[in-house]
Amino acid sequence: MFLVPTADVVRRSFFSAMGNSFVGFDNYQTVLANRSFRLALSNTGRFLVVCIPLLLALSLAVALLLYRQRRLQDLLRTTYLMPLVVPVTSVVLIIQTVFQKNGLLSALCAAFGKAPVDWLNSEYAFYVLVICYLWKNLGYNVVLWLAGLSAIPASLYEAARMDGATGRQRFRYITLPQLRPTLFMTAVLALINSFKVFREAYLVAGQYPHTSIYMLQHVLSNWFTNLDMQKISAAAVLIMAAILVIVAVVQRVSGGKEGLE
Amino acid sequence: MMKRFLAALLAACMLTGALAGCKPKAEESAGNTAVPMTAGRYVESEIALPALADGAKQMVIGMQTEAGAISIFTMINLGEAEGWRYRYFRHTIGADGTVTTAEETWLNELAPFGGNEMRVTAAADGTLYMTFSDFDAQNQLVAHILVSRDGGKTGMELAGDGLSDLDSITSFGVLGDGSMAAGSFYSGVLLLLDADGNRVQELTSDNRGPIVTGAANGNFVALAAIEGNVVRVYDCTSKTYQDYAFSFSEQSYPQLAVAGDGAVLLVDNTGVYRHAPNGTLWEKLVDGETSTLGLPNFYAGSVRIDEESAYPAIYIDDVERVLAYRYDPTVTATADKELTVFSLRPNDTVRQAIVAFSRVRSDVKITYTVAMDNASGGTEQDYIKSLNTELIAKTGPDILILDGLPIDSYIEKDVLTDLTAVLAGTEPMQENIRAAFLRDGAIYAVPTGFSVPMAVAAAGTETAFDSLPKLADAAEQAGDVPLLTNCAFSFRTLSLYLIQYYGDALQNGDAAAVEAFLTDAKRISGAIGCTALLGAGWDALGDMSQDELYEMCSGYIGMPQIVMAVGNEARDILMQPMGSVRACMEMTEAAGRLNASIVSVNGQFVPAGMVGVNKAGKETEVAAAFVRMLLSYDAQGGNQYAEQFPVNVQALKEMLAYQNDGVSSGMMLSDGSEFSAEWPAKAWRERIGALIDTLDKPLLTDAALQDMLQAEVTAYLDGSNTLAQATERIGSMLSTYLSE
Repeated sequence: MFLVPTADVVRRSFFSAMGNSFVGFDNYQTVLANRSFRLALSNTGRFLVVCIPLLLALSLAVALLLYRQRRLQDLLRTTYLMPLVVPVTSVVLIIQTVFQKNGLLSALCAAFGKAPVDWLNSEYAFYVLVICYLWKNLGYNVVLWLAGLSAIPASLYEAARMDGATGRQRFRYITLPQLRPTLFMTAVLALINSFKVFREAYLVAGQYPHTSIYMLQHVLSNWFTNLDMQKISAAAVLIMAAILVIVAVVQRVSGGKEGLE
Repeated sequence: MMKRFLAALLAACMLTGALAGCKPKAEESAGNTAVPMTAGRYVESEIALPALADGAKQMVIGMQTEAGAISIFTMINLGEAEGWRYRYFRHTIGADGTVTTAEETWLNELAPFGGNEMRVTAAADGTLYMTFSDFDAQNQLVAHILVSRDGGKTGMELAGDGLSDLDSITSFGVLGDGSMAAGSFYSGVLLLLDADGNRVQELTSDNRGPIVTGAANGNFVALAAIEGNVVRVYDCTSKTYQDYAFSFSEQSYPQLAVAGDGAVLLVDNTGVYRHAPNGTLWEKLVDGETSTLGLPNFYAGSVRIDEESAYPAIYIDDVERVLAYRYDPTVTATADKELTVFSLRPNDTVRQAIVAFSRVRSDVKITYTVAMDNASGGTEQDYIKSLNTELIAKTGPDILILDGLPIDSYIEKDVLTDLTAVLAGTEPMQENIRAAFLRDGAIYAVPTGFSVPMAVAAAGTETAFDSLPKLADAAEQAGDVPLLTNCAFSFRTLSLYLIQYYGDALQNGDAAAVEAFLTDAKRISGAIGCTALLGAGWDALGDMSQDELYEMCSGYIGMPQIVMAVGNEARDILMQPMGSVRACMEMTEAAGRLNASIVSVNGQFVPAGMVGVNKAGKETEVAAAFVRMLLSYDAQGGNQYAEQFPVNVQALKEMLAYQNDGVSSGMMLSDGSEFSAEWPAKAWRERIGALIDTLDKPLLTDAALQDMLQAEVTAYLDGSNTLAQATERIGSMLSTYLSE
C-alpha cells in the first residue's frame, strides 16, 4: 500500500513542482543548498541526538527501579501511558501557561528577582521541547523496557548470584545483553515518536518558531503551503534514506533482528 | 482440492465482475450516448424600475400582477424641505413592455409620513391594502391597515380591534372573502382578521415556535415557523391544516406566497421552492447559489405569483429592485458544463458575478467553494494545503480567488494561466491597477477590487507619507502638536501599520535596511510619544480594554485619530486602507475641517479578490468568460456600499459620482462636542478619483511574515530589545523565511 506513493515521491523528486519537466538531481541540489532545510536538519539532528539517548537512559533507569517493586508497578501502571492520551491541545496549553513570557516559570523567576524570559521565543525553546518530548514518551518507554526485563529468564540471575556476581556485574553481563533486542525496538519507536513532537512545536510557536526549534516538519509544511512539491519530494527521499541508515545502524548495534527472531 | 477450487471460482467471479463494471453500458456502446436533456427552467431577470422625472431614488413597497402585466408600487422621500413627506407611485409594465406611471393619491393622503415596514398588497379582486406601523403619542408601536377598494383613487384606514393586538405588520395576505391574515415577525404571531380588521382568531404553529412570516390567498393561509422547521397551510374553509416540513437555513428570512390552489411558494437565500397542495416534496424552482437570492445583501421583501400560465411567473422584490423568474422552455434544465471557483474566504464580487454569469450562460453550472466559511474549523494553512493537493493532482478548481494564497509561488510553478488575452476582451478596467500586475509582459492575476491606504496631511506634510524616512522627519519636525496621535498609535499598532505600509524594505532581509527601518520607526515612536497603551486622551474609550482597543485600531484606526486631530491634538491622520466613498466620509469631513489634503501612502493600493485561472482547469473557455464577467460592470457596478473600490472603470466612475444625502454619521469628540460627517462632496470624490489614478504599487501582505515582524519591531520600540538585538533577530527570522 505504501510502495506506490513512495515510488511517486521518488519520481516527483526528479521533476519540476507540477511534474511537467524532468530536472534530474536539481531538486536534490536545491534542497541540500537550502539554508532553511539545513537549519531544520541540524535542529532535528540535534534534537534526536539529545533526546533519544536521554529518553532511553532515563526510561531504562526508571524501569530498573520499578522492576523489582511489584506493588509500585501496579500502582503506577495506569500513569505510564497517561501523557500519551492527553490531547495535544491540552499539552500546548500547559506549555504556554508555564513557559510564555508572563507564564508560571517567569513568575517564579520574578520571585527570585530575575527578569521574565520568553522561554518559547529564545534558545530555551529547544529545551522546552526536549522536556515536552521526555515527559510524553518516558512512561511508554518504561513499559517497553519492563516488558524486555520480564523476558529475561530469572535462572540467569540465580546462576550468576550463585557464582558470586555483584549487582553491577549482573546488570553488565546479563541485563544489558538480554535487553539488546528491546533496545532496537525502543530506539526505533523513540525515533518515530521524536518526529511527532512537531505537533507541539507547531501549535506552540506556529509556522516560524524560534530558530532553535525550527524542525524538518516546519520546512516541509511550509514548502507544502507554497506548493514546493519538488523540494518536499527530494527532501522526503533524503530523510527516508537517512532514517533507513539510522535504523540499520541501530539494528546492527542492538542485534535487533536476531533478537526479534 | 476443494479449497483451491473455491478460491479459483471466487477469483474468477471477482475478475468477471470487475471487467463487467468497466464495460460501457449497452446504450452507450450503441453510439447513442447523449442522454436527452430535460429542457426548461426558471430564468432570472431584473425589472428596471421606471425612473421618475426628477430621478429621485425609489423604494419598492409592493407588487401587483395581472394578465402578464406587473404593477410596482414605489415611494420616495421628499426630504427635509418637504418635512420628510413621502410620495407614492405605481409603475405598470404591460405584457407588451409599455410603461405607465401614476401617483397613488390615496397613499399620498393617508400615509404622508409613512412609517415602518410599509407594504402594499393587492388582493385577487384588485383591492389594495397598505400596511405599516408607527409610534403613537405614548411612544408605542401601532399597526395600520389602509385599504382602497376603487383601484387606488380613494382609501380609508381600517379600525378593527385586531389591529391593537399587533405591534407591527411584517406579513400580510388577503383571502378570497376579504378577510386578512396579518402577522408580526417581532411578536411571532399571525392573526386572522375580518374585512374590517376585527380579530377572528390567532393562527398558530402549535408548539413549533414563533411564526416569522405568513401569506394568504383564496381559502388558504400559509405560515412559517423557522424553529419548528415547518410551513403550515390552513384551509380556512374546511378548518384543517397541513404541515410541510422544511429545513430552514441559518439566518433564513423566508417569504411565502400562496397560489389560488393552495400551492405554497417559499423564498429564502437558498432559492425558491414550491410545494404542491397535498404533495410530499418541495420542488426547487430557483437555486439561490446561482441567483440574486443568494447574494449577501439581498433580503426578499415580498413575493408575487402571476398564475396566468402553467408555469407561473414569480416576482420578488428587496425594496431596491424587482426580480422576475420566468419559465423558459428553451434553456436546458441541467447544465452541461461545470465551472469550479475557489476562495479562502467569501467574496461578494464573485457571488455577484456568479449570478450575472448564470443569467447569460445557462449551460454552465458554477460551483463556488469557500474554504473558510462560518462552519469551517481548520486553519488557513490547512485549506491551502488541501487546495495544493488538488492542484498537484490536476483536479483543482478552474478559477482561483488568490487572496491569502501563495500567488508568487503559483506563478512560479506555472499553475496560473496568462490572462493577457482574456483581459483584452474585458470591459475597460482601471489601467494603472492592471499595469501593476504585469510580469514580463504577462498577467497571471488581477484584482477585482482594491482599497487605498490614505492619509490626511496638513499643509507642509503632503509628502510625509511617501516613505518612512520622510515620515520620521515630519514627525520630528512637527513641533508642539505631534504629527500623529498616540491615542491610536501604541508600540504595537505603530509597528503594525509601519510594517504594512513601509515594510517592503524588510522583505529582502538586508541588515542595513532592517536597521534603517527600525531607526526610523523609533524616531516616529519617540516623536509622537508612543507608549504600550492605546486610547490616551479620548475619554469615550475608557470602557474598552486594551485588547479591545487593539482589535479596533488594527482594523479601523481612523476614528481615534480623527477625534484627536479635530481636537487639535495631532496634525495628520494615517488611515487604514479605504475601499469605498462611503468609507471615506469621516476622513473627508476631518480633512475639510483641518483644511488638509488627502494623499496616498506612496502610491500603494491593497488588491482584493485577486483572480487567476488554473492552467490545468477543464473549462478554460468558460473560465475566461467568467473572469470577464468578474471584471464587468454587471458584477462590480451598482453597489455603493461595497467594501472595495471596483476595478471596472464604469463601476468606479459611478461610485465616485454617486451622491447620497441621506447618510450621515456622528460621534462625540473628546471635548463633548459632536463630530458629524456627510457623504463626501463632489470635490472630495474627484480628489479620491485623481488619487486612485496615481496608484501603482500593489501592497501584497504576507500575514505570517507580518506577525513575526510586528512582534520584533514592537519589542524594539518598547525597549525590550536593543537595535542590534532586534536587527539580528529580524535578520535571522527573515533568513529562514526567505531561504525557504
